[in-house]
Amino acid sequence: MNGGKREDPIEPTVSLRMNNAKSNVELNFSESFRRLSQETVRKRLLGLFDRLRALGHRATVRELWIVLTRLLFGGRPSGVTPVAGRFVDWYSERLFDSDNRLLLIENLRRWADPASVSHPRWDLKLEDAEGTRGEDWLVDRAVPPLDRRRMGQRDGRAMFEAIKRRFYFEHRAGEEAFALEGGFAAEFRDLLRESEGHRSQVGEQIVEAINRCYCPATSVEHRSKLYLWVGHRYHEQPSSAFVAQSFFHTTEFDILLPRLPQRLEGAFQYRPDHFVLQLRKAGDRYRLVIDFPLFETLRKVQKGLPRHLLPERDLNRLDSFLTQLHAAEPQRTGEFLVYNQDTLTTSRIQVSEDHSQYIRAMQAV
Amino acid sequence: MKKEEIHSRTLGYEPKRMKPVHLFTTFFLTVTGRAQRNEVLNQTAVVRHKRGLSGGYSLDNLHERLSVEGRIADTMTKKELDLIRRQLHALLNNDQAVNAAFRPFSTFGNDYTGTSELFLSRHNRVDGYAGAFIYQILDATREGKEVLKFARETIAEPDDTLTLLARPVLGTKGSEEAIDLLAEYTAKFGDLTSERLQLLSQKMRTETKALVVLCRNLKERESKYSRLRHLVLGLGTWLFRYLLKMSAPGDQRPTLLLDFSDRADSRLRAQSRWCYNRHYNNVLELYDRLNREGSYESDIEEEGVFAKKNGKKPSRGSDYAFLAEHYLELAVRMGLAQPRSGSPYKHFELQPDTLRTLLLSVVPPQEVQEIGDVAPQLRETWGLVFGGCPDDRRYLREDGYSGIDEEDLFRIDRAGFIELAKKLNMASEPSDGLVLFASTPEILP
Repeated sequence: MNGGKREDPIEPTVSLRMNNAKSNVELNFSESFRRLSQETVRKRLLGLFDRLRALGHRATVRELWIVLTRLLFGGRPSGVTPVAGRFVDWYSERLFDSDNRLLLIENLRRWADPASVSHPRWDLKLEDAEGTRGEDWLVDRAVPPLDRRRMGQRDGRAMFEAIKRRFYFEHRAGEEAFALEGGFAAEFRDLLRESEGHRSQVGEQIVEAINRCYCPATSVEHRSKLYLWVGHRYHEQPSSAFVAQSFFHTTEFDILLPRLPQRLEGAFQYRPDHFVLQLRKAGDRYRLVIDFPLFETLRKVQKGLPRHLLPERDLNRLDSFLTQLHAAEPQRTGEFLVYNQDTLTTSRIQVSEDHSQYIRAMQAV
Repeated sequence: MKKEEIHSRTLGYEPKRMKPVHLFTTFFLTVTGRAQRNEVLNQTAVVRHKRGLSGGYSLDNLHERLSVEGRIADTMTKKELDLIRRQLHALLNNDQAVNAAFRPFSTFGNDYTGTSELFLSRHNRVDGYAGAFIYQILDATREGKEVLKFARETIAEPDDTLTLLARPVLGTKGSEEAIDLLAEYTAKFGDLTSERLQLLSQKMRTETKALVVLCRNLKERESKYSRLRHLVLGLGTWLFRYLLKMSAPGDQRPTLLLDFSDRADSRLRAQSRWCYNRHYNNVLELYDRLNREGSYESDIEEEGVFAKKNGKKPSRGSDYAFLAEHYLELAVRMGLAQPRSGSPYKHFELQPDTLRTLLLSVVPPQEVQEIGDVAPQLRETWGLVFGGCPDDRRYLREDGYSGIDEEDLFRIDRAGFIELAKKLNMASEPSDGLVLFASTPEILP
């Protein structure tokens, strides 16, 4: 209007912010890059992915790219610009930012988050300003600062969790973060490393758990025999009763770990993510692949989880396995085991050899 | 006109409220041509009655009879027998269709969750002879005959666990009675002429071919129990599809818009409910519409053939509620519609076993197919729409569905479908966006 250049009072602020944002992104990138360049950090990052792999989880290359880019550039699902140095913007926090669009992140949060595992000794040391030595922190050579007065508050706890994650990646003893991890995941991973002798005991546990999916009563025979349970019905509702007469002895099964064929051994590194319950006499025709989800279900059954709360996927797999075993000439007796879900009773019914007469019946405990 | 004539002229069987186990019994009675009286089985497996157990059903009398006939050991106590009865009841009544059928009681129907021909007993046919009707249509084509052969061979397989457990109270081969359910059918509904058989078998040709694929898959690896169950689910879906085809006016397609989104308030759920209600109304109005179109020899409304009963006096207007019940029961019991509760707000969503049956009917044995092959076959054969085909939105628009133009809705629906197929071990997603299906998990990558 006055012929001169109009001055926009907002412009310098925006420009400043943009510059700040730019410098923050750059700073954050440099910081993350410096840390992620350390061999130990890279190894431990791969270690977390390996934990997921052992449990049977997979990720697409696209997801991996997204996650790794976030680690470097500090991008957050919420779109908030990172601020260099702020603990919530550490690369080790980016890895566990909740984002239900990315299965990899959700799996990391559930199965491989160092902050979710308690370790009383290290937790105590991390809480104490002088609990750890500076030289044991491999990147900074200094103990990360923690405002202990805020530990009772939400942001204080978040800070402590961030330090626990940084401990895993950057402390000399970081791998101990998972040392006291309990639960079925650790058990499953151990199992994949166990000796053959130990695996035969596992076979008994697996057989017992399968039996208990159909008949929750406890019995010695549930460990020594795999019964071929039948819960026949035509309509869409679940069966309310199961019967079994045929069985295989547990000793007729092997617990096997997959391995590369001889001609490929050494060609690349292979580590199993499942084991197999296989009927020995028929080669590999009758086998149940037990990956982590199924293992977890079976362990939960052993702990008393009722059938109707079990994942359908796993029940389908068990049904399908037992169905196939019918064709493998199982042993038969004149005794039938029946589980009645309406009355919550298990019975043993003895029938004569020619199946013309009931001999006796008793309620099994 | 008589009711039977109208049923015969319209659908070819009497539409009734029926369970899959009713269809199982009639279909296999027709296939085998033999029935058992099974009085002892019934007296043993029935453990309660609203009037209390009496006569041959009382524990004392039953114990004495079984003992005299040598069906229980001399040492067996009444308490033991009572335990056997309760367990047999639970197993054979898994479909909740076992009733006291002999004196001093009587029943409209009694069907065991059986696994062999020894369980096939003839009481009033609660399925309105639908099983005998399906048999005749299948028997009219080469493909259908393959299904019947599979059924005949499967039911005849000896010595399954359930049969062996019940054997002491079952009849024997010697006590079988030859029955001709087709003759009974003809006496009730008249002859299905060869022209009509030809016409109907042609109308259901795609579905019948799918049953053949189902049987081949089942034969490949499934147990007897699984073969029987999936066959009955397949036959029930075949019948439901037939019902929709017969009742759809004009060129309306018998589409089933499936909702796997698990979101009760979504637009997709509303449209799937509308789809359910649309077919419901078509079926409910079927007899009335044909009457108005003059398809019957006389005006059945005028004659009051299906007149509402007001006390004992017939009143104005017809009562076609039996059609609605038939539709509802088939849709829910065959695992095609949910919820199973009495809620009137139903939508199409497959139960896991039904999805398994239908996938087994379109994916041939030992083949791996992409979703791009499977989804069009499911739509073509069974009318299933879940966003699996690229042109599903256009397809639905042509059928008068509106408001599901957003790709997001179908993305969620498709994902739900794939997730369920994965749970059934019939699908895998080896890389982003590549979904593969197979009838056996071993050949999936």
